[in-house]
Amino acid sequence: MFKAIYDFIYDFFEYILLGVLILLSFIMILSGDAPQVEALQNSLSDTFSFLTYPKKLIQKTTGLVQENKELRRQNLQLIRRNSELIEAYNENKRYEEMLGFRDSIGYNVLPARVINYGSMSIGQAVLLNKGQKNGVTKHLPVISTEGVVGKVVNTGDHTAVVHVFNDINFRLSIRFVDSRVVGILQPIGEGLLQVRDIPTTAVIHPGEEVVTSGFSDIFPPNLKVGVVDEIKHSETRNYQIATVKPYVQLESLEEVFVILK
Amino acid sequence: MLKKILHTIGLVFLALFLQVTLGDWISIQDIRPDFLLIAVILIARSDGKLYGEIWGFIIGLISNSIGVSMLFGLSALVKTITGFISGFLKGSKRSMSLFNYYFIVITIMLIHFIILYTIYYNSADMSLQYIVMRYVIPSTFYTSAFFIIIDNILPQNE
Repeated sequence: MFKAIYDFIYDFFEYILLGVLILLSFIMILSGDAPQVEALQNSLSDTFSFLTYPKKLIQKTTGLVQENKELRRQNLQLIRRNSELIEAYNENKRYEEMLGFRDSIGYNVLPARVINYGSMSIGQAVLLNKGQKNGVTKHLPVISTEGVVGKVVNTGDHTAVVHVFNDINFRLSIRFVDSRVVGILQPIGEGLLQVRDIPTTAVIHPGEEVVTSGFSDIFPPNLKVGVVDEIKHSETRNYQIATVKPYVQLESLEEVFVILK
Repeated sequence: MLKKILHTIGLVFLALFLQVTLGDWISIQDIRPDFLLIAVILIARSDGKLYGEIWGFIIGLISNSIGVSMLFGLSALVKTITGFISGFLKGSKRSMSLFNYYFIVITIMLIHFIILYTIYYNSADMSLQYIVMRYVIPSTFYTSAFFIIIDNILPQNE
């Protein structure tokens, strides 16, 4: 009996192992939020982050990294102030000061360097050189001087994986600055984003700025996202579709800021 | 045996290095060659189905960890299957015509990318036809081009 089982396993070991590995893969896919799976992912992410060193070395040789870092930090503060002033102006125009416009300057930000971006065939994510030891936790927003980059989805001790806005599974609650219409932003490929289901009564124009709505638990309001590129009606003409061009160029992203809680 | 394992580990790290360092630079319209897939096929072709599926699983996990945030385990799944199927190629390069050999390799890559992209873009509002034309076929041919180059550069150790 046992010999028969042994012979069976011996004869079909490759197939049995294939089944086991496929089963393991499916378990990991279906339970991606499980602590054990996250721990494995974080541990592997930390272990193999050294593979990105050559890329970092090449980036360093382009020079001025430190100076850039400081200038970008200052630039970020100025852009935030500028964005805040524009927003305050719009609020004043609409006599809505009593609604309690909140001063969004003063986020506690942590500068981080992008050490890897989108080098695999699927998935749009960037790897940062800051992790749990620096106070980075899951679901923190990540921005650059240009605007929203994404959100932290996994953290190792010294690295963090950021789910970026151009990933097909990314969604972001936004507001059109002039028309005050809110919507859900989603990527459509080719570096463009789209907001669907906009009421036909809403007057949105190309060139209108798009910012975060603040309805999300993750992203604070008024972070710059992009600008409206095109407006069109749906096939049934029941709603409008806005194509949005993001401000952030992910291909050239080097320094980002994690907004700490 | 030890030499063989070290040889395989060296190949895996070379593939990881190429993927991380060059993957971004040589991408065309978001399409990148998958050097890790090439490594899995080469290992499986050289060592058979058992090693192919084991290394496919390991490489898939590492690939998921350093580059992709969502659907952890997807790369492991597709590369395990690819490693197993590629194992049938063991010893075949000399026994079949070059055309047939590369045709089978490209078909394996096509299967790999079909599974990968259809699962990955499952939640997206995209038709299967669009996914195949936009991602699967370009990725297959881009990776195949590199496979043919690498396959002819590396020493033949079937």
